[in-house]
Amino acid sequence: FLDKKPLGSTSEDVFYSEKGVNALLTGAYSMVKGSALWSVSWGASITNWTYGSVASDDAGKGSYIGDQIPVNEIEQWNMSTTNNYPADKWLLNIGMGVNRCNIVLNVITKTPTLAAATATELQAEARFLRGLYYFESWLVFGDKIPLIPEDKVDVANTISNDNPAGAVLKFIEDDLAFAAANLPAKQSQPGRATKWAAKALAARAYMQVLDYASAKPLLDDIITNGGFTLADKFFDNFRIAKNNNSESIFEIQRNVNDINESLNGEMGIGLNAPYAPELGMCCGFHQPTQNLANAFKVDAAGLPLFDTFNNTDLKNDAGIASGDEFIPATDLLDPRIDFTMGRRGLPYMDWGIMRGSDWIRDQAWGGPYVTVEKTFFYKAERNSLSTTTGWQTGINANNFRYLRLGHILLWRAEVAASEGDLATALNYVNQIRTRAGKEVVMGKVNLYKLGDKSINDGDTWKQYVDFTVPAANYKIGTYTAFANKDEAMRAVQWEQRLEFATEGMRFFDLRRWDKAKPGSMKATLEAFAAADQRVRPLVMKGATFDEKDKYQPIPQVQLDLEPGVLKQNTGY
Amino acid sequence: QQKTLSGTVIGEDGGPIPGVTVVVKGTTTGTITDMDGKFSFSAPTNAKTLSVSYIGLKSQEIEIGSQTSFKVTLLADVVSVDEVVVVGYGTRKKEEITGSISTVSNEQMKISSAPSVVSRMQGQISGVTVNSGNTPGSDAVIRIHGIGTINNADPLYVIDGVPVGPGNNINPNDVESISVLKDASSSAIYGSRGANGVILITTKHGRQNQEATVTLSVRTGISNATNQYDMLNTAEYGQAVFLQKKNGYSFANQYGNGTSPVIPDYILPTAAMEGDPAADASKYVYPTNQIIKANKQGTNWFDEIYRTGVIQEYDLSISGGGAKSTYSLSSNYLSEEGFLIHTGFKRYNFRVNADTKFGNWLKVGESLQAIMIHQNGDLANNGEGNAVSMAYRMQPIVPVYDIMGNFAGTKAPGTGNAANPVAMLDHAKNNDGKWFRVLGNIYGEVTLMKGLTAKSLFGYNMGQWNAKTYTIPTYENAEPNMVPGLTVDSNYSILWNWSNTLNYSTTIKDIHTINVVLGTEAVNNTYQWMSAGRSQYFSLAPDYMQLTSGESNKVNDGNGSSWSLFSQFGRANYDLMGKYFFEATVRRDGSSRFGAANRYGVFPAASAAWEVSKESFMASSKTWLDLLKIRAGWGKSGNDQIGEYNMYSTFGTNGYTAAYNLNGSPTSAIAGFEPSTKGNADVSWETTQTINAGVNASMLNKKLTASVDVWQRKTSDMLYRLSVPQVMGTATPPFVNIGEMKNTGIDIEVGYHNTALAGKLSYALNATWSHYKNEVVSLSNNLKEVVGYSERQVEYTRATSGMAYPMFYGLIADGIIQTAAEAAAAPQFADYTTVGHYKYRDLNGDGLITMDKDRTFIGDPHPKFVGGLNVDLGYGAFDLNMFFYGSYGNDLINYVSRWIDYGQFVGGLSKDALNDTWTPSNTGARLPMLDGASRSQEASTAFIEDGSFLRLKTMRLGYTLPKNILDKVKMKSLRVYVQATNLFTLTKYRGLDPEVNTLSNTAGEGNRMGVDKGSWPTPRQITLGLTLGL
Repeated sequence: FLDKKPLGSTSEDVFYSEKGVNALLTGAYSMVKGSALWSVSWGASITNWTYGSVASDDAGKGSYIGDQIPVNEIEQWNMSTTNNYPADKWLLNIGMGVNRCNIVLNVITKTPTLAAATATELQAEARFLRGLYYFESWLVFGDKIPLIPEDKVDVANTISNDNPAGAVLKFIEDDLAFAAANLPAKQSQPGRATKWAAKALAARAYMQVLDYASAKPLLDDIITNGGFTLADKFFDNFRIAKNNNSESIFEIQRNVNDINESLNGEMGIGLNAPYAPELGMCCGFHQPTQNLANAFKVDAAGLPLFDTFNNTDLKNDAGIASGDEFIPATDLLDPRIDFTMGRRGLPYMDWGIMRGSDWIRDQAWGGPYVTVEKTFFYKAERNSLSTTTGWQTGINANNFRYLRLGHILLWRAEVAASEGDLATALNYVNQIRTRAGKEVVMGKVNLYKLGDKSINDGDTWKQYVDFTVPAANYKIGTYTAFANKDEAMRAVQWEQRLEFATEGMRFFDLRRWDKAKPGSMKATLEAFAAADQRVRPLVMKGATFDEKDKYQPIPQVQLDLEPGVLKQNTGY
Repeated sequence: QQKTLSGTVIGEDGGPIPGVTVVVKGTTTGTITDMDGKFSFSAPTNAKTLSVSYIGLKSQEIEIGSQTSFKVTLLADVVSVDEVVVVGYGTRKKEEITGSISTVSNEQMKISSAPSVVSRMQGQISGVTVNSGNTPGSDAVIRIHGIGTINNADPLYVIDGVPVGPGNNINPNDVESISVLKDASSSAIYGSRGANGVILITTKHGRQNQEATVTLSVRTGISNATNQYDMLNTAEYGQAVFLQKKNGYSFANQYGNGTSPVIPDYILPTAAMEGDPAADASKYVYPTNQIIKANKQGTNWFDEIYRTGVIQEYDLSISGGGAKSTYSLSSNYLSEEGFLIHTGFKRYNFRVNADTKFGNWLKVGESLQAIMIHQNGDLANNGEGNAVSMAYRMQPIVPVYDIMGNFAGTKAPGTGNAANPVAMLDHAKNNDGKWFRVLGNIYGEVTLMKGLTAKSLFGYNMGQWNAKTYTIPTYENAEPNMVPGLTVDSNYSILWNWSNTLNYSTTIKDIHTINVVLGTEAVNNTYQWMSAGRSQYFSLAPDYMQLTSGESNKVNDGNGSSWSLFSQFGRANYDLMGKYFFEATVRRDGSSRFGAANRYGVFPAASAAWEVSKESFMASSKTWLDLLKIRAGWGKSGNDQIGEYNMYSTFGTNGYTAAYNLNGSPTSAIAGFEPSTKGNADVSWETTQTINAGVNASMLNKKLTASVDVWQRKTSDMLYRLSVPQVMGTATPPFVNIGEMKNTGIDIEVGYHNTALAGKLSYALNATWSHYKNEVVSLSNNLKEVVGYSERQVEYTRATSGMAYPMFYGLIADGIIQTAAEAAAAPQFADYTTVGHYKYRDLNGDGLITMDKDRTFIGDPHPKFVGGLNVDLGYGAFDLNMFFYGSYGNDLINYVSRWIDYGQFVGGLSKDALNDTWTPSNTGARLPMLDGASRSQEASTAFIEDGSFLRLKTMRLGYTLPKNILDKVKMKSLRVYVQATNLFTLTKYRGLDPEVNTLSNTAGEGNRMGVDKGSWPTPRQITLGLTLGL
């Protein structure tokens, strides 16, 4: 009478079978979505739009000053240890991700009925994921993360985070090496990790410490033997229709409408849709900066303006009401700009004409550019491939290309540049640029007063657009040769910025390049902050970038729960 | 020699009573009355005294003398009605009570007109804190003797012997009496569920030989909101926008970019003026191109959502009894319209109680209540997203409707992100919840021998909840929901209990009275829930929107739980000479909520009382002192309210956190599993140990009565969900027995009644006063362990060892910085420390303000005392009752202030935000510079306000028709009255209502006590009533 067993849940022994291990492994995969529910929200996004993009010169928080105030601290390099954003990242990757992988590894050893080969392959998947969760934690928090092997799960809170130099990378490297050795080259389910995913992630880990020698063979192996080819067009990497394409090595699979509010789709980007009245989405976060817009300017040869790009601003509509006349800039531009940021007076995908300040929650704060398009979706896909319930209706089924051939090529180019192998660097950079030139945003808008939002009703806007002409004055050229190692490195780094802009990598890239050129990160960011006030007078005023700002603080709550075991990052 | 004695026995109503025993005292000589109440028998001539007795009526002894014919009127045995107190599994005479028990009579239940029984207890007894609800039909929160635990601190409710939870919505008119068992010496008989006190509710039963009484009551009236925030109008708001701009806080708005604010003609198109082609009505398309005019005067959003709600109540009850059987039935209908548009509550109650006797040895009876509740509309309360909060979050420039009569809202740029509250309430008008409950018992009681009875009671409480919630597109909002949807929720719970008791009582040698109760009880509860939803509806007609007609997002969910309890218990009372009273109880409980090894617990208690006034040495004081009784008790009781299954480690699926789309399909995921709970089989209940002592006194011919209780409760092995570092995983950690909490307090009740003006004026005063002090002795072994409560990234409360649960936590604001020199000298809070901002106190003296080092405990939500005062006046046929309730010494956090005084988000602003804010020419202002600075909005002493209040809760004036008039119209009674609630409030609190949020009503959420997040104010109700007795 007094024995009552829980309903709708089960105990561990139920999972001692292949099916059971797979069920737990699916639960471990679930965390790669980045965030999926209210208890772990925007701070955990695997797109790293906060730590990788907003903290850099690529983008700002956007929206307006009073919403999601903790992100102001990230943007202004003014973090407090109680900020809940890094706490989300810690929770998702270490608290949920690593822990679940360790449970899978333990359950495998408790399941003698598994065939040896099956057991090894399942182990390899779990270790790939553990490597990924540690890599994500390492990016954000640096070396001060507790390394918990599967046999220490129950005694985990005695494990210090004060690691000897190189220990974290070694741990990640071991997991990924095991995964690379034991995973198949191709999986029947596209969401699962392959050996190429393990190799690519290991290469990215080595790139973080500029260990070019270790990265190089992995990159070459992927390029030569992986069977991946660049997608036809740059934007194929950002379209739902082209999920899991020929370029993709490991994609974060998104899906919507399987459950209410579809937080399964990745709530991490739930704030990052344009705040335009006719779109009715929330909340105008993650707006690209003027600095990024300027970086897309090119010279007559279609090549970047490395030294002068930020001296003057590409013409923008800051301070101009939507109903007032504004004629967009006619400068020569890399076409990728208009796949990366929404500019006034241009078509915004198929949603209509971006109407300037009416599409922006607070232009004086967030700047004139609308939330990035790379994580967005087409109007034609609305509701079928985007969330229909709740207020975060910008959540959609667009996969996040976590590792793709484009990354590999430009990292390989970087390795080559560091070695003085100028021809190889030139080859890969030009492959990327050639592909980028294949597609431009089409449709020149001939309406310059955009106060009337009914122009975006249905197809009305199309009558103001000449679709036979590109939307702006695009030009992209290939490099003919690099004069020396420095010039090659500069071109490679610039290319990475343009190709990967707003994908949450820029801050970490600046940080790793700072190792070769100490002080370069501080100089780049503070120069950005100074010039940015021409467009956004308030946001970066007085902001300085210090050594401690390279890493986020360890969450104060976790330090308090493990007194004497966990240490705070230096400087906090 | 013999003589014949004869006569008639009648009742109070003048009717004859058959079956009355009439004997010569001390003999067996006598008879019983016949059907006409007549008796006649022969008695010895020397017979001195006649004894007349009947069960349920007061026995009489009559001097015979020379009399041979008698007319005897037997009065109702008032002891059995008024002087009997219901205790656990039985009743005791009031004078025998040794523990701390307060009772509420059905008369006291009539003082308030609140729909719930618990609300009506507010201020009527000491030692309890009651926080009344303020949405239609809402229940109150009650805490007995402080706050005993960080877990569920609700008392156990027992209605007619059936253990139930709070919020059962029985009809207050059905209540015969309520006993509140406050100390463990009284509540230990409920063992593992008694730690937070026990409320025993007994519903009305008929009486034997009672003529049928029919009572009809009708009540109707109105309900209004009493308060609203004083907000800026459109022109003033423009000034506030420009003031903020001047202060360096610029945001998109509708007032132009010039040097002074310009109120536009339209807000959609943005800031357009008449004649703007985009504002031409021909361009209007709903919902894609709404055109919204500016409200130049300003919308008063409170006026738009407030209304006068109508209240109606009809109550019919019938009760009576014959020689063997009694009955009592009632039906009640209550309808309360909320003072917010489209909100309401209806309740239907039916009750049947019946008892009957077979011979002298068996009594059987039942009690049955059927209750249906129907609530509709958006009744959300106590949060920044409810309709009342949206009323202060909307800017005044936004009108309610656009030019074509569709809802307008913040979709107009620069008007913030609030939701139009009129639209919000309108969209929810078809939301409804229906709740059915059947509650009652059936019992049999056998008299086995003189003094020994056995009783078996089977009780049940079955509830079924059904709710429909519509999602209507909110095109008018800045953050709209564009897709219509429907959610249907349903759940049921079934509880049964079966208790068996043996009761033995005897008196030995006239001076030793012994009463023993032994019993067992089994309780079982099962619960199951189901929820389903759809979205995308072709039509928004409520009749069309059913689950079956929704086009996408076909989701459903459901689960269940159960628990059980098996117990043995016993109680012994010993009464020596009616002066010395002793009581001992013990209960042994086995609960399914704990692992097999820790399943059983024993809860002992003992108490004693001494009726000092009966001692011979007190004889001299008899002239003025009627009663003086001293009581003391000790006991242990438990709390097992930690939910089910704490001992099991489990894994579960979760569509959000354990599913992943491995297949690459954009619209489906594969379910996986995640660790969901970590078990702990070593856990057992919290144990609360109380000691208490009290005095009861009655003086001046019972005109003045008083009682005082002092008590201490110590909860040890307090169940606490220990925070686990995230490196250990995120499965919900188990409860462990680790914390300790202590409450000490004092309760006082004083009453005085008398008459004046030669008996024409009667008056009575009854006051209650309660004080408690709460302390968390420890939470865990980690001294830094805290349970805090945060709202919008700001932590407001904390509980930690050595402090009350909870306390307000934050920075100390030492005024506003006036000069640059002062700013330079002040402790620096990053770049915030400038002229016009708060100067926060640097507690650790490092010259900097840091959140981890400079916050401290800054306020206390616990009152120093709460009290109630009832004033009753009677003059002729008129009676007047006034009930005052107050709380003194409690602080509140005015979270609403963050929105309306400080401009969190760009919503509505208070008059103070513009007029009492720091500017170079208004240096003495209460508020810092209006610039949206988030660091002005950190939890600090600036948000702490005195929550003390005194409120005239109810006032009632009644007129009872005199008997001579009633007799002519063949009525027993007729009374009319007018009643008003919440007539005035004295308080310094700036929020809408100081009485809200003084307690949290959700288990485990006690840590948000005292944070006013935006609540409905307490309504003012004025009702007219009529009670008719036939």
